[in-house]
Amino acid sequence: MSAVLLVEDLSVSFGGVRVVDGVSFQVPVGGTVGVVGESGSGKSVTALAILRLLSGAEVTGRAYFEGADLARLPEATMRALRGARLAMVFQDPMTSLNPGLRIGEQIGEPLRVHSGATKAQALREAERLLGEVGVPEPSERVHAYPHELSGGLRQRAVIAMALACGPNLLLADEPTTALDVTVQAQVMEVLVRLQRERQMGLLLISHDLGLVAERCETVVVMYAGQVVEQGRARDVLRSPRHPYTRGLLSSLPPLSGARARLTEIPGVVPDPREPLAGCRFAARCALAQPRCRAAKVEWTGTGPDSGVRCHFPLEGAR
Amino acid sequence: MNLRAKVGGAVLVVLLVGSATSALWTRVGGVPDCVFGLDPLFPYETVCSQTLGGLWRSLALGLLGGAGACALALVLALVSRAGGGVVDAFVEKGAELFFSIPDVLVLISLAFVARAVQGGESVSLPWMAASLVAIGWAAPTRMVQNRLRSLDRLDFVTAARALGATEWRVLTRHLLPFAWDYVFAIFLLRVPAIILTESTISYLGFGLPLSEPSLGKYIGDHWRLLTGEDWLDVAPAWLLLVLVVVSFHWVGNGLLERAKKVSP
Repeated sequence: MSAVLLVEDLSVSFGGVRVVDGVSFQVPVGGTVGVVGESGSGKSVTALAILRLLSGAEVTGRAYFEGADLARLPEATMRALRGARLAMVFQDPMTSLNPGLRIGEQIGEPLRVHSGATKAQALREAERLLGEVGVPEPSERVHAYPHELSGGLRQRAVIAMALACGPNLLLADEPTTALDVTVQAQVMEVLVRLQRERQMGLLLISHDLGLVAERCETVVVMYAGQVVEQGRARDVLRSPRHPYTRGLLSSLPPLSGARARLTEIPGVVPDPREPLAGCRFAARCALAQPRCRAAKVEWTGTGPDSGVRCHFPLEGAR
Repeated sequence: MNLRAKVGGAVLVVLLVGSATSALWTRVGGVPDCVFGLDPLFPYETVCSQTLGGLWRSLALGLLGGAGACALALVLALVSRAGGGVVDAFVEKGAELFFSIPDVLVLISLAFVARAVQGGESVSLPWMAASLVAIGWAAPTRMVQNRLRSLDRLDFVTAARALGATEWRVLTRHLLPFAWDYVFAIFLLRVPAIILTESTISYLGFGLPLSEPSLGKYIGDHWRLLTGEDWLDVAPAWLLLVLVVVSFHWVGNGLLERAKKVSP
């Protein structure tokens, strides 16, 4: 299957401090890839780097969108891609909507920018899009300001905004984190339905392993700016090979079986300003050995889109 | 807005209206007569007409100078933002360099230039206003630059860029609408600074002509009265100068606090 997005060895540094280090993955046409990891693991920065929206950052590596190397595109071409064929949904719908503009104006903005739609045309289309993402009474909601909508409706509005021009790839950065569980499910249903209808690639950034397990074909696990494990979601989540992935899964409460204390991952993500000789997870890893702290750990591929970054990868089931 | 800002605003309205209409009710022989009587140095004028005329000129210079400085600051901040990189750093460092130049010395130098160009021993009101703009742009430029930079980091601005908005669209629809209240507060805080600077210059004799004094010029011409029995004749000018400066500060700070509070 051809890739709508191919990321190769992407690294991002701010003032010499590397926060994303050699990230590689691909999103197939119409496919869903989940990127998981704790806060500060570099998930959102990776997405913003792909869109070239990080000011003051030094970005190396390659990101190919439909075969085009995004780093080499002139800014005007890149701007023409953003929102039209390559869109992003931001984490917090309250802060990613302009509080001073009506919802209809904001959803219509990409249409006005890319399609040259008039104000009236953009507003009509915004109303249709709001209906499409399941917002009740869209004709009234287009005239509302963000603060007049609930969290769920705001997130749907943000999704409608990103989908306005029918992108081929959607980068969704924690699209349901700010929502309660029932609304999360509704919003994800909307995204998946639209993805199916439009054959749109979806990069789902989340720290919710349950959501990723349910919706994604491939999962990319990030830790401290690096991809530590990658593979088919089913395989990675059933038989994690990196102790960090296993730690993430162990910290999820089981819905059935005997009651047991949840296992937490001790410690915190290392400070990117302090260089580490060995594995970045070693200080928190219960299975760490002297070699883990001393020797740099390389990526070991186990398939075309799978691999693990660990000196002593786990074998067998969870 | 807080109470002090409201009081300051009310005082400013009274002072503006009072000084603008002063000519109607402070003429010699007019009704009512000035309670302070005739000006000891200029007996054809009352203390009231001189002081209120001075207040009007001080206010006009403060408002013109403040508006000009803030307009220039806005233009420079926009140019630096549009230019980015080197242009941005040039404007920033240029403004910082300007802080190290003493305002009063620049104004005195410009007064000498005015005397050479226009003749006479004083400076015209338009020249003084232009000089005040020339020395007043640096601080507002840095403040507007910083405001636009902090707005630029907001999520909805990044989201607009992620949807393909041009920089012009980002500026006009997502940044400037949230910067105007801040710019207006900066303007209100700039006015008293300019009034005080102009008063100092005029006090030293490098400002407006004797026939059209500002508050500073009036105080400078009448400073000897402070040690004599006519000291009350110069007290209104001092009082008005303090009152107008404090009032602008109260309103400006109130608006600045409000702008920060309602900022997205």
